[in-house]
Parts: sequence; structure tokens; C-alpha cells
Amino acid sequence: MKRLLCIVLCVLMVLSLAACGGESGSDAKAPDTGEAAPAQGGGEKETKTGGLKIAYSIGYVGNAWRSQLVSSLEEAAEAYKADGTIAEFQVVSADNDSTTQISQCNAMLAEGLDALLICAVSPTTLASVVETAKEMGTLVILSNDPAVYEGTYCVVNNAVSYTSLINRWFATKVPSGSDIVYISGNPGNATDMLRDETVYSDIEKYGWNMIGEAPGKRNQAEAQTIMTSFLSTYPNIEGVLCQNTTFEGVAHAYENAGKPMPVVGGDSVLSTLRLWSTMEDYETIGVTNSPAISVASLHFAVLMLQGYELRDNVLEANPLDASLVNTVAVDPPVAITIDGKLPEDILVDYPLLTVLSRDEALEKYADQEDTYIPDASMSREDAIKTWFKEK
Amino acid sequence: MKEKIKKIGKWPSLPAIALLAILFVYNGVLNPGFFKKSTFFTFLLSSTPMICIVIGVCTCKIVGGIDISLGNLLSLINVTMAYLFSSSDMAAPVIILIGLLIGLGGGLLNGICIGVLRVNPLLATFATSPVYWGLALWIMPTPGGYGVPRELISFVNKTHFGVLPTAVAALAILVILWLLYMKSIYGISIYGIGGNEQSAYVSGMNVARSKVLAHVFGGFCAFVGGLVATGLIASGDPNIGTEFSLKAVTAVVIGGVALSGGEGDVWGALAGGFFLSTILIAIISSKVPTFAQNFANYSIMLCGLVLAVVIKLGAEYYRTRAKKKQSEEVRQ
Amino acid sequence: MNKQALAKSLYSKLKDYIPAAGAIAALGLISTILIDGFMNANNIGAILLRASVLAIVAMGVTFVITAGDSGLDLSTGSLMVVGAMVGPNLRFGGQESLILSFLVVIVIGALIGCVNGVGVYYLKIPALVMTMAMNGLVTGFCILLTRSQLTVNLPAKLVALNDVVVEPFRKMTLLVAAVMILLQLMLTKSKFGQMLQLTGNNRQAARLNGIPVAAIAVGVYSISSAMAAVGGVLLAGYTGLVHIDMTVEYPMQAMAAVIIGGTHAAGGVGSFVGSVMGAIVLTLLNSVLLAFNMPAGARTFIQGLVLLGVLIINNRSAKLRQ
Repeated sequence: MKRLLCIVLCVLMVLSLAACGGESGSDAKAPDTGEAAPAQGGGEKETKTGGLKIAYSIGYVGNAWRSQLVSSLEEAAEAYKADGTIAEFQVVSADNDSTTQISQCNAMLAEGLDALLICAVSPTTLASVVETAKEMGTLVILSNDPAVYEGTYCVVNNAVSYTSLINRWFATKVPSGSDIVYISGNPGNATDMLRDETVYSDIEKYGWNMIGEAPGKRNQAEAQTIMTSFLSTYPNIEGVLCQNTTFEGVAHAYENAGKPMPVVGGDSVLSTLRLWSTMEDYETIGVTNSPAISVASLHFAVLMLQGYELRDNVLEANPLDASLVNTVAVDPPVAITIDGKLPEDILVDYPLLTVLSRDEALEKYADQEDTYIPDASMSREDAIKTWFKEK
Repeated sequence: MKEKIKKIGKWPSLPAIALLAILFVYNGVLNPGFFKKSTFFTFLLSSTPMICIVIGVCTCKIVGGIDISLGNLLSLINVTMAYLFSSSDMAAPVIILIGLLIGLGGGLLNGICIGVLRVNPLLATFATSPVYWGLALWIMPTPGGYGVPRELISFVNKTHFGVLPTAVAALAILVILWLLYMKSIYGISIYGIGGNEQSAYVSGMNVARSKVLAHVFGGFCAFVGGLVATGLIASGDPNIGTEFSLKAVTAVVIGGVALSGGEGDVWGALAGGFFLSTILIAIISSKVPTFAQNFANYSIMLCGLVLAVVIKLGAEYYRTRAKKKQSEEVRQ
Repeated sequence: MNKQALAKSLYSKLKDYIPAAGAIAALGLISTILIDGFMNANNIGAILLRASVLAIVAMGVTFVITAGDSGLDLSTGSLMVVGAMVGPNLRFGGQESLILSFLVVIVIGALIGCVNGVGVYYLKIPALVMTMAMNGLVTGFCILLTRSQLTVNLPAKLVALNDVVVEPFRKMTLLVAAVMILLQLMLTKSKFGQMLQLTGNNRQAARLNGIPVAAIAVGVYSISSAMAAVGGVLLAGYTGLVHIDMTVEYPMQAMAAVIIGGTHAAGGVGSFVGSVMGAIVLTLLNSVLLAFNMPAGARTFIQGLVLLGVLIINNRSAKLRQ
């Protein structure tokens, strides 16, 4: 009896793997529809117009932001598959283990890829993967989280412009000399280091007093704890700088303390907007750190493989190492204010920004879940316009 | 001949090895590139740090204990070495020696709490785990430390005789040490202690010393893993080992090392460890949709666990039935 | 009974609580002296609220550990997510009902917990590994089901649990305190409590005494998961929302709370009051360290040391010589 159970379990295991796998990406290897000379190692790459094989390796998918990143990405990939540009596409999650990510990337490279996009668990662990990819002529793009490797490109959200946008709006509401607190993101994250630097320099620029600072880890419960602690320690807080997925925590802390909320800046997640709509004339700003950066990365990869040339001077210094110039940074695509307006001098610096009013945003995304982040995917045309020379 | 087959059938490591074989074949069929030399070696290399922890946990388990802090101890070793490489002028051998001392020291702390102070092993290492992790995060809050010397990196990644990556050689050394240790008087006592502590004590074995040694060996495994990891990622990452501890315990259970101690050997643990590493590759080869990957990973892990345990229970059942039959025959 | 014997019996009953009580006293003292404004009603109330959520989960885990045989439960994080996803969104004929929501969530939790119990007791998979694998499995299932996008419509009564009853105690805190008192009485005075402790002490002897060991050994996992699910509902009420990754730290923290509270790892001796005290210690410690602006690594390090200290004082097995 037990032996039968064993055999059944073995078979089940194997079958479940095979069955689970059947749906996505099992298209038979489509014949190359373009000039299909396989890419040579170390140097000149032949261009292909179609039949591309691309994979995206992500550290983990266990939160709403990441899952939106994957959803937008898969949508864009489907569109490319429909017109034959992409033949095989796969997204793989490494369950937060950097050595697993190395192993997975290598396995995928072994299957033969035209491009490998990586959202790294940790920026420093991929040297061997990059080496292998170079030997095989695979294009490597670091997506969303920057990392420093010669011969790769980074397509990331511009942490500096994201933070500056919030701070500039904040400066129109919070005068110089005010006491503010700052709830930051994840200690030890590369993107967060950049945001912190921008906040510190803006605090000096606009003349605020930062009386308290703590990492909110983009977690509402954590933000609530921190804010409660701040409220007890500092009797007079005149402004709160925070980030995505922290506004509600701050709001709850104020509610529980029975104090009126001062200006709070930075969160655009839908549940925040919904909470905000119960607050009448209260003003805040929501700026999106775009999960659809994955889509921008995909367009970048496809266009490069198709032989488009980068414009001169479009590459910027890598956020982690200024001596490497291999990065394109995308400005936040969506901002939400109570009336849908922003001062002209701010708008002028953000040409691709869509500003929505709170009510517009609520209507537009009425069918989405609370954890949804109002976002806009970069289109292929915009990608060409921004980064590449017309063919 | 029948005796030999029976003996192999009773080998606690057999289920894990069988599982590993099935998964390897499955993976190889779906993705022949997996067995290409460079891919397979990278697979072995990137699994090595975790497998080192598996060997350490296996040793502690056989003594009837457990250690869930080794993964974080590995992170601490990696971070300290990377930090020293990039921020100080110490010579490389000195830095590596410091790493070794941290590994042995951590193992000693665990061993003393468990062997001498008699704290429950799971809880003791449950407590020392955040101690090591906290230190690692304190020393290096962000992954960094790019000063790892070229020599170490290439040494770890090098292949000897064209077939044996250094990292795997490190594993082999650990396994050899383990085997020597087990054959020695200290090692045999470990099995005795794991099986029944009271009778081991009564028969004169120094229980406390054996436990301390077992955990120090675990710390040594963490050092080797940390050294390989440092060469592999060429930097320091305070979170590199966080997942390893619990994965290692799972691997060891799949490998047939009994929770109560006194049974099992390193081969099953190795097989169990590689089995877990291969699951995530198999998921790629099977093109599992992204949002189902997490679920698939744990389902297969659970299936593997159930299989390993059920096979063991089945073996025990047949053994007791055979014994009963024998004693009946004798009576008649 | 003469005074000495009375004192001795009191001491042996209370000595397991000494580390937790001592820690709370020490932290309270440190924070009052060194941190301005820490000791105000709102801050303490919030700390107690957060501790309440942790306390419910810890009390559930106490059942598992008390039942002995190296039992423990690391799957509580995923059960909390299930509770938080399902509970607050339930409406019965269009009406909110806190009690019915709790009941549904308890049943779901109990069913999932059964799987843990069966795996640990019948299949003899070590509890550490079984519950950890289940944690990943259940979380993975939630991700698969929802693609990590969640909405929660909190019933007004759930949100009202945040209201103050008597400073600094809020409704939720009092609710959890009531549960604690009930469970502690059950443990010490009722037959079930006795059976639980005997099972934890020595399973063979318990079986010989006619105690339904199998039912208890599996049942405690159901109880633990059910209580974790309730904890998830409470967490949703406290934070006002649900995210798939918001309970990642709870399994380890709940275990730590139980240990600090004096429950013995080997089983047989447990205390719900202790687990609640342990939850308070951890939450307080975290808040105090935050107020000192300690970096994350230092905070984790200190928490580990505190835990280790408690273990060395409290949780040592008998000498082999005995």
C-alpha cells in the first residue's frame, strides 16, 4: 500500500511539473523570420527582426508591486508574441535567494537566449552570469534594480527624479524652517540609498529641519509603528515625507492619536487614494514608482536586438558607480494631486508625466484592487522616440 | 546477493538519491543544455554554499540536535571577509583566517549552549541565528565590499583537470572529513548519542564534548561555504545565507537523517540538497507560469518530503514484519 | 501550609515568568528615563495593540509546543494572510458580523492546520520542516489565486476594535486579554488542559492513561492555525489593509514570544499568560530600539541576544547525571 503511494506520488510530481509547464511559452521554437544568423560571441551582433528568445529573471514575486511588474511585462510580451517578434518568453522567480538566481540564469542561458533581463536579488552577485552571457552573445539588461557590470545596460526608474518630484511639491506646501520627519524605504537597497541622498540634499535646499527618520520598508504596519513613535517623541511635526505604500500607516497613526495630519507626501497606491477620498480637501501628492519599468526594459532589449542605434548622450551614469555610463533612467509616469494640477516650473521638467486628479484616478481604476498602483506602461513608440535613432 | 539488495533497500539515503535521479533525468530531457559542462558546473558551483550548510546540519542532526543558524553564520563570514578585503590592508590569508575563526567561534557558541548549557538545540540556534544575521547586517547593511581579490575569485571558479570545479572539491573535502570523523571514535559516539543519550552517557561517552565538536564542525562547514560564496559572488551580501538554514534542514530530512538522531549519513543529505536546488531549475525547464512558481516549488518539496518519510516508514514496517516472521519460525 | 512551603510553591509556579516580567520592567524603566514622551497613553496603547495581534498567534503556537514531541508551528504567517484576505471581506446576507467572520476564518484555519498535524503526527515529518513547507505552499497558493493584488473592505466593527476603552487599553487589547484568561484557566483547571500537559510530558504514558493522544497531537496544529487566521483578521483591522507580504516576520516572532514567556520547549509545561507577556516584551523591545534609532542589524542582534539570554536562564534540560 505504501509502495503504491510512493509510486503514485512520484508520478504525480513529474506530471504536475509537466502539466504546470504546458501553458506559457511552450510554443514550438518558431523558425526565425528575420536575418537569423545566430549572434557571435564577444562583439558584433547580427540583428533579428523576429523570433527572439527572451527571459526575465526576478528576485521574487511576493508583493503587489512586483506582481504588477510581472503582469505588465507579460502583457507587453504577449503583444510582441502576437506579431512574431518574440518566439519564446519566460519569467522566472528566484524566491529571494541570490545563489538560486545565478543558477536559474545559467540554466536559461544554456537554453540559448537573445536577451536576458534581470531584476537582481542582490546587485553584486551576477558577475559569473554576465560573463557567461557575454560568451554566448546574449544581451544582458539589468531591470529596475541597478548593478555595475561592464557590457550590460541598466533600465531603471529614476530614483532621483521620483524623489525630487515629491519634494518639489512638498516645498510648495511646507515652508522653510518647518520641522519634518522622513520615513524611508528599505535600508540596504540601492534604489533607497539614492532616494535618501536626494531627500537629504533637498532638505538642505529647502531649509527644512529633519527631526526624525526611520525606515518604513514600504510597509504600512511598519510606517504606522514609526509614526506613532514619532508622535509620542516629537510634539510638533509640521510635515511627513514618506514613500509608496506608507501613507495609510501614517494616516492611521494620526487617527489613533487623535491629531490632525500635516502635509504628507509620496504615496500613490490605490488604497491610499481611496482613503484620501474620505478626507475632503486634504492635499497630498501621489507619485508612482513605475512597476512597468519591466515593459520599458523589454522594449529597450527588443529594440537593441532589432538593430536600433542609441541616440548620442542618452546613456547616463550608473547610479551605483558614476564611472560606468550604461543606464537609462525613466521618470515617474503618473502623479496624482487633488486637482490634477502641478506648478508649471515642475511640469516643464517632466515632459512624459501624466497628472491626474484624485477623482479622475479613482474613476479610472475603479475596477482594480486596493493594492493596485496607478501606472502607465511605456509604449514602443515612446521608447524609440526617447532613446533610439529612427531607422 | 539477496542480502546485498536487502541492505541497499534499508539504506536511509536511498529515497533522496532516487528523487534526485528522477529530477535530473526529467530536467535533462526537457533541457539538454543542463548537462552541458559549463551549465552543470555553474549549477554545482552555485549550489555549493547551501550544500556546505547541509553537511553541517546533517552532522548536528545525527547527534540528535539541529542547527538553524548556520546559514546566517555563513552570511556573517562572507560579509566580514568582504568588508575586510575592501576596507583594510590586511593580507588575504589573515582575512581568511579571521573568517575561519568566526565560523569556528559561531559553532562553538552553538555547541556550548547546546552541549554544556543543555539548551534545546532548535531554540538555541533559533536564538543565535538573529545574532549572526544582526551582526552581518550591522557590518554591511547593503551588499558591497567589492575588494575581493582576483585570486580568490578565480580560485573558486577554477576547474581542475578540466572536470572538477574547486568549489565541488571543497565539498568533497568536507565529505571526506565527515567520513573520517564518523569512522573515528568521536564519530561513532555521535551515532550512539544520537540514538540514545542516556545509555551513551552511562557507557562512558563524553556527551557534552561530542555535541560541542559536532557544532564546531557545523561552524567549519559554514566557513567553507562562506569562502566559496565570497569567491562566487565576489562581494559581501548580508542576506546570502538567510534561506539556507531551513532549506538545509529540509534537505537533511529528505536525505533520511532521522530527527531523533542516530541514523542516516551524508550521502542522503547531499542528494536532498541537490534535489532542492534542482527543483527551481526544473520549474524553469517546465515553463511553469510565473505566479504558480512559488506554489509549484513548495508542492514538490512537500512531495519529496512525504515520499522520503513514507519510504522510510515503509522500510521500518517491512523490517518489523520480517523480524516477527523470523521469531515465529524460530519458535516453531 | 506553613509560610515557607507556600513561598516555595508560589516561586516554582512563577519562576518561569521571571525573564519576561523582568524584561518588561527593564524596558519600561529604560524608555521612561531615556526617551522623551515614550510613556504616553497613545504610544503605549499602540504598542499593546500590536502586541495583541502577536499575542493571539503566540497563544496558538503555545498549544503546539505544550503538546510536546518537539512540536512547533512556522506556518502561522501564511495562515494570517489567509485570515486577513477572507475574514474582513465576509458579509452575511449583506450584513457585517464580526462573530460569524471569526467563525468562518477559524474553520478555514483549522482545516489547513489539520494538514500540518497529519504530516507531523502520522507521517512523522519533523514539525520544523512540515510547517515551513506549508507556510510556503499556502503563501504560494494565495499568490497564485490573487496575483498579490488584494482588496479589503473592513467591517466597521472590526475597525472599531481600535477604539479606546480605558487609556491605554483598546477594545482589541481587552479582547485578547479575555482570550488569554480563558485559555489559561482552561489549561490549569479543565480536563482538556490536563490532558494537553500530560501529552506533552510523556506521550507513551498519556496513551496508557487513555488520553486520545492522536486527536490532541493533530488538534493542536488546527488550533494554532485557526488562531493565526484570527490574528490575521485582527492585523487587517489594525493596519486597515492586507498585503501578501505583511506577515513575514510573525512565525519567528510568535515562536520567540512563546519561548520568552516561559513555555518549555520539550512540552508539558505551558503558559498562555507567559506567551502574551513574551509578545509584549518583543513589541516593546522593537519600539524602544526604534526610538533609539538603532540600525536594523543592531536591533536584530539585540533581539537574538535577549532570546539567548532567556533560554539560558529558563530553558535547560536536566543534567544527564540525574
